[in-house]
Amino acid sequence: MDLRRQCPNRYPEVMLLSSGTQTKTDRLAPHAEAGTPVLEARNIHKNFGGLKALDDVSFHLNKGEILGIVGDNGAGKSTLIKTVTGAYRKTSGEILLNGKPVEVENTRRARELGIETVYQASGLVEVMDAPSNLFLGREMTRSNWLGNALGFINRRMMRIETVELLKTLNIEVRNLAAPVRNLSGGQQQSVSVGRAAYWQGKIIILDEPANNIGVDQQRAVLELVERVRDSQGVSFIIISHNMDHIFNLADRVIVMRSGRMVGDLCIADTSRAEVVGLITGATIT
Amino acid sequence: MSDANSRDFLMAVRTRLDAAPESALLLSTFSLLLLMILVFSFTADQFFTLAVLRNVLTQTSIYIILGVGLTIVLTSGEIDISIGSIIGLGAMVLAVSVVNMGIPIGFGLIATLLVGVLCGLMNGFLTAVVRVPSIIVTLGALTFFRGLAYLLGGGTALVGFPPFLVWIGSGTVIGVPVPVCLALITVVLGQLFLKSTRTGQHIIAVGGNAEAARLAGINIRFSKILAFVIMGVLSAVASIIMVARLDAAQSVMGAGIELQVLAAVVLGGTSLFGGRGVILGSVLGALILTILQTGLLLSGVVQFWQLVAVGILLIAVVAIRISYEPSEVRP
Repeated sequence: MDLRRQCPNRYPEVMLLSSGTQTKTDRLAPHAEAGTPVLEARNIHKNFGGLKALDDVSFHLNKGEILGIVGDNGAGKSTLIKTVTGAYRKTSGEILLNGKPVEVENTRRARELGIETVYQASGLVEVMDAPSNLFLGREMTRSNWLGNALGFINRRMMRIETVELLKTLNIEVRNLAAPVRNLSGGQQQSVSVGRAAYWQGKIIILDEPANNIGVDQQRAVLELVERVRDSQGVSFIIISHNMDHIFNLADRVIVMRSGRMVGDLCIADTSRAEVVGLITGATIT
Repeated sequence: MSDANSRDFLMAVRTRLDAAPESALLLSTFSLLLLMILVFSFTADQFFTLAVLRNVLTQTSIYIILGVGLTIVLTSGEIDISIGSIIGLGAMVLAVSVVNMGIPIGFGLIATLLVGVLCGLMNGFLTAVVRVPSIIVTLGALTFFRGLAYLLGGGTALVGFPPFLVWIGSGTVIGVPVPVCLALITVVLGQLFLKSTRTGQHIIAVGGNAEAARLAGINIRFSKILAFVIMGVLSAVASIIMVARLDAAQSVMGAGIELQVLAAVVLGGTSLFGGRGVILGSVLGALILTILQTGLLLSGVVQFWQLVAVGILLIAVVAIRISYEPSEVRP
């Protein structure tokens, strides 16, 4: 059982083109017709020794789309993401950005290409404050010789930029000088998403964005995702266990099972039962 | 009414300090230092004389210089217990090159500093690239460097250094002893490096959360190796001061100093688990240790009790800190 359905695209000109090919058994999304996807992965294989972690996975992500990835533990969701973002080397396959083949050797390269990733827990340095985390690895330096020659950081500018960003995205952080460890889980996650947006990621990938945080804060993070999408036209990939989040937020969902992609469905014309059925491998009637 | 006010005030202070853990640590360490000075001003008559003060500062300067280095290494998430042996090796290189071989003192000093760089490179490479835990690497280096020191200089003291070196040990610059000047420079540079430069921030990030640092594109290997190299150079500086103060060099120099420096740094609030380095705290910690020892001595306490007191103080301070910040405790 393997379900692929075309989704109507958010962008009208694309919608016209793709609406004609909407069939249930369409094996491959006809990317050439559906406007160029911002990200496309073709026939991705990833082996860990003899274990096939990813087996011929192909998917695409359209501009401004929120794509959900669901699947059981060990189904290959995180492996797929890590392969796309250069955290893992793929065994074979092809990755295209805006229709052009790219080599994503490492996470730094991914960020240069505009792919930002928000990880479950490990993305922030808990002992550092929000501005330092926002600029982690890309610190602003002073414009004088101290900055150029000795790498003196410009804390004041970093703080101003942080205040600006948090205001724009409506993220509330009370004390910017405090280590982010003192912030709630939701605020930390918001800082992570904000960081990805600040660095003008064209594609932002969230790995279990709502894990280990309170329900109110989950809603805040999900709303932030929508705001960033709507205001900056960013495309999102969201890995989640939470069907509510996927169905409230995503436009489309792909389902992984045992390293294979077994479903590519439009949220508008699928049901939770169908998606859960694909995740577990139960038959759908 | 006033009770509620003071409670509010205390709560406000607590919130501030929670948000700025390093200031809180500095404040507590500084209070301890003040308390100690207060107590000794009553128990020891000659405690407040200029000679004692000067002696205390000069003596502490070596611990302060080493403390700055160890703070940076601990911040990067590693440890270096080979610093005493780097001092021994550095002293021997200085003595053999200047006294035995007659090389000009300037070159001798450069050679000593280079040895510090090499020792740090070795520790850093084995830790960051070969990935042997730094406690093992530097435990091995501790005997390795000491062995080299003995091979180089033998077991006897080497004497006969030129006047310039003696000036480093006992000279003054506008009334301030040279070792104290060197310590001051080290503290200022160390503080600026760790808190105000990109590389320093990267060291904090690597020690705070190596995975996050890696994902942010920070070069973990470089950061850790650099921390060890800084430690090596500062150990070499300390060895120069030690030789200069004694006007003699011996292979055994610096033996056991790593534990005292570690005690000073931990007293100052630097985390053993990385990510939090309080350089000014290490300065205060070093001052506390020297003042405790000097104060007890001048108060007529037997030397064995001084050792007991230092041990109790160290454990008590860390225990109190942990009870105040449960989130700090990591398995």
